[in-house]
Amino acid sequence: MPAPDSNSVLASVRRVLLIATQTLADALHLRLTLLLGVAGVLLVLMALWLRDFNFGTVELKFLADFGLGAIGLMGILLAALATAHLYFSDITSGTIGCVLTRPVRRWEYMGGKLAGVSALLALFVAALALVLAAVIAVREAQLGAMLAPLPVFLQACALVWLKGTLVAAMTLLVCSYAGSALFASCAGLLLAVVAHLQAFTEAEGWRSVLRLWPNLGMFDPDLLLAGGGLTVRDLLALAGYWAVFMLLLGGLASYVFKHREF
Amino acid sequence: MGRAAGSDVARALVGYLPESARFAPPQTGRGFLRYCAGLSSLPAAKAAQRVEAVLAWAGLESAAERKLATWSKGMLQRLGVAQAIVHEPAVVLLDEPASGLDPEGRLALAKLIRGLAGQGRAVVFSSHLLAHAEEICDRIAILGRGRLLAEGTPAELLGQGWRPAPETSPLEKLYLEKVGARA
Repeated sequence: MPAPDSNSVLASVRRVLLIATQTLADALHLRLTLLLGVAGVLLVLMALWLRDFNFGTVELKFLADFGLGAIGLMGILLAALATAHLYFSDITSGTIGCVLTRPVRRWEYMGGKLAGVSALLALFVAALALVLAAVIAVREAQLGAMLAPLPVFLQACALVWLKGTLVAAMTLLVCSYAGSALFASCAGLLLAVVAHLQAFTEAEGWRSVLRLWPNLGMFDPDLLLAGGGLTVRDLLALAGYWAVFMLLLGGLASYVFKHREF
Repeated sequence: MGRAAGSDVARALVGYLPESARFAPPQTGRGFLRYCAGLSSLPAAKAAQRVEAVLAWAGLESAAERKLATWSKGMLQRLGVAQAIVHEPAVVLLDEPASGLDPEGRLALAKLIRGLAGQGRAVVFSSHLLAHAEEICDRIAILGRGRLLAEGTPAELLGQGWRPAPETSPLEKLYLEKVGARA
């Protein structure tokens, strides 16, 4: 017998959450997650060793920039590789057939995958940010100085997370038509590079083209730490920009996926 | 069934086992069935009850909390059938359910399929193991190059002299005897 409420919005939300939870559980078991986590911790700790090569920057600022850069880099790698792996493992294991023959809409599946990877990135960034915060706190105590207020540091970490989720959405879009995880993860990483190019482009023609794609340079946290944080208005504008591109990329991925045969 | 193909209602009425299903290794059998029941929008209490019922029906209770990576191919196929019926569908579609199974697994699967039919469900399965189809099916359709070439009961297709195939061939009996399993 069909379940009575399979058409309701609440039932849709439940299914998205189920797929997201399942995706997160699968992702936490990946060796890739562990490997990138360990590499991220080592990179963050390496900032202590490299602090003498700070090119004249204040040490605490250097530690934060290097650490957040490391978290961002590992986050982007995890976003692209884990999204592609988790999507294609469902296809190769046949799980996708069991899921899509139930009253699950294609957008619910893609939404659940994206939400699951976003949750993974949130945990990943939070864990590495804790290590970085500990490193900075130790040096702050030793130097008797302070880097930035905690809310500013948290804002910087949130920007790193937002950037990672956008890369995950780009990769999911590629996954929706790609034939292999390798291609999807490489293309996802390439698209992430393209999304960093706006800041380096002088020509207006290229700028116009690149504006159609998310500008990940807007989510770089280094200026934030130097400038004392974002105003509420800036924060809302940035969140809006992120939400628009997440919806666009996720919607496009769902649309392409809807027409895909398995 | 009078429902538009692909509609939610039609999909809720159908259970499906994909060919060569190899479910996600980090999961337990019970966890995977709960996931499937949840996706079918079964209420939580009903889902828990159905999961336990199909685990018992498929003879997988003792392995339910073990990771799927440690399960045999035969157990995974039985889990595949269990996930296909966890939401109590009227029609069950099984794509090559017996491929790659040893005689013991094949016999267990045949028993499950007959059990499903006994519950009043329509079971449709594809197979290249024709002896297996002859042994289990009430009706058989032969497809070739995308066309229906023949369809009917085994007696209609093979003539009135046809008799049901034995559940186990002499070689299978010997195999089961040697590995210590019971048919």
